[in-house]
Amino acid sequence: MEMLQYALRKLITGIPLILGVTLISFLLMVYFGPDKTYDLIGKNATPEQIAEIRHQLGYDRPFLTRYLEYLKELVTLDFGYSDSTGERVSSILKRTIPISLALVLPGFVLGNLLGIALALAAAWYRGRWLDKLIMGGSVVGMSVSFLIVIIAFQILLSSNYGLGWFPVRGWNVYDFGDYLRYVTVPTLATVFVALGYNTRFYRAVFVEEMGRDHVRTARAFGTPPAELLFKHVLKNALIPIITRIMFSIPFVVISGALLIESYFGIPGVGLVTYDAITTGDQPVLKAVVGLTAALFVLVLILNDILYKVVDPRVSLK
Amino acid sequence: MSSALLSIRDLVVEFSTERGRVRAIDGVSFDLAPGETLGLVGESGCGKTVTALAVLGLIPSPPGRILSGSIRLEGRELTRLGEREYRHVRGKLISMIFQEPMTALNPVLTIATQMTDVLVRHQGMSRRRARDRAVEMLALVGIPSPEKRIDDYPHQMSGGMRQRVMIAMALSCNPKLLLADEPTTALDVTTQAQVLEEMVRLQERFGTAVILVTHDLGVVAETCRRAVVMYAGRVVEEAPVECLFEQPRHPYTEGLLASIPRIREEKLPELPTIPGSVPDLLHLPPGCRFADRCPRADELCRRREPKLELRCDIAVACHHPNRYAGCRE
Repeated sequence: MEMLQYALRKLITGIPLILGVTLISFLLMVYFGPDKTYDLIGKNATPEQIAEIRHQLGYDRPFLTRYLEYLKELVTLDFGYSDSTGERVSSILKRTIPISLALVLPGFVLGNLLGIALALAAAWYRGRWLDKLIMGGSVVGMSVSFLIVIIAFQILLSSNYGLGWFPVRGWNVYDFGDYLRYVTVPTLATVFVALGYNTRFYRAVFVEEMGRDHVRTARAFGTPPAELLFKHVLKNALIPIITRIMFSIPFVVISGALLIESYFGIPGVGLVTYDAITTGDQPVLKAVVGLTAALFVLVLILNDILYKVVDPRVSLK
Repeated sequence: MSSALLSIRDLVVEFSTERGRVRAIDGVSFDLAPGETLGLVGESGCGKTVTALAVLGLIPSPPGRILSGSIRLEGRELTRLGEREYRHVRGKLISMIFQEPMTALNPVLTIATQMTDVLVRHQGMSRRRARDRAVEMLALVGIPSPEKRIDDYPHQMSGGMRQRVMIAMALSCNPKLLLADEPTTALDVTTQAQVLEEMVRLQERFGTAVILVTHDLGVVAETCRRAVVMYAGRVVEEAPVECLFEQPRHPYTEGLLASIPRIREEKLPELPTIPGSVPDLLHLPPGCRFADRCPRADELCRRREPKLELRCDIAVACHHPNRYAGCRE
């Protein structure tokens, strides 16, 4: 009950945050974003014709009116029709977001879980050869460019020059078997790229935690290794872990999806965003920008709630 | 010597640092009888805590390791125990209380979890039985309404309370030896006395032997029968406490005693101190380690290191000790 109140309070404090973020992004879009006028007018248009077009597009209305309209669109999730395809924006999103999530999620989860596992092993054997091996591997993984990784994996696993087990590009998913075939190579690539960063970060967190007094106390009372690592070290290290995971969610969903989808030709929300940016498709951009802002705020709130769950010292006030 | 509970012989603990290898303790020996309370005294950095950690096999490694020497508990050699065997010693036969009550307990686990974990592990109790026993122990160390407080997290308790919890946890498996590393240093004076009293009372009740690591000679005078004085990684004097206070034989002990602030009839213009500072363990002088600070040092002291010599209950490592005052006889 107390928890629910806390969550609600956090949600309410999130409202001004969403307003602020959307206001700034809308401001940028209106004054610096794409202008449709000159796509629609013919050659040698008179000032009257230009004004006419601007009026049709609604560009001449006051900023506040347009912003409020945008907020209404955000609340109702109705962003009108795409400029380039004429499809309803909401139906585009409904079609592409699940694809992006299905594409990005396995790599994200695996990258973090593997990172935590490797980091625990490295921290436990700190200074020994296993630690050096894991840390060396991390540096190698971090040093290779994402583009090289993708191309290398495509050649090795998907092409006829390599094993040829998986499709190189596309997303013809009708059942779970298809899904596995299409998701494997992108997942491997993301895990490969993220693992080094994750492992190094988590190892630093664990090493610091293992140097704390309470861990020494646990040792002094004969705590066996597994219990020491999971109950004492990991449990206390959860706050930085949660922070990192939560705050990488918006980036993974948008930027991660954008990169992978364009390289693997997968019709997810990242590709849609990319196309919208290049063609100046404002309705789609408005939707993506607004929803990203909302996602950020949501993650922020969820983050605070999770802190409370893992650490009894965090107050509910 | 077979009657000793704990017997440390020529213990050497070495740490590798960036500037070279350092012997944090260098040839420490002493014995402890069952149920006895021994004070381990010295300035910070003299190797008191390292000695205590070595007994529990908790020298952080790397960088530290036990280079040589032996630690025997009831005749059983501890330095050769594997990690798995040592875990059955820690918390069960030997327990330790640490200096910082604010950080020594796990902040995200309740007192109940931390205490019952130890009991379940070492006594094979069911969780329910272990909880009852933990409540009992908390009551013994004077925690009010222990059946409620046991579900608190450490941050909900004061420093004194947490140190009591540590004592309760340390004694819950009825260990033979308790290592108390500056257990009261971080507490305020009134709490210090209470916690110390609680510890001594329980120690007598359970018949636990205690090594009390401290730089506070007042605490030693109140609680210990015998004291070992350490300086720069070596034992310089070992004596029954009353002899130590009445007639310290090593000039370092003498200096330590003189520098205790106390209420005197006349206010001294300045509190007496020992001049100079502890030698750098990387660049030890060839002779006595205390020679540079010692008013009595001469050629011999600078050339040859004195051995610890035992005479009638008192051992001292000095070429020119104070005259033997004939304590006890």
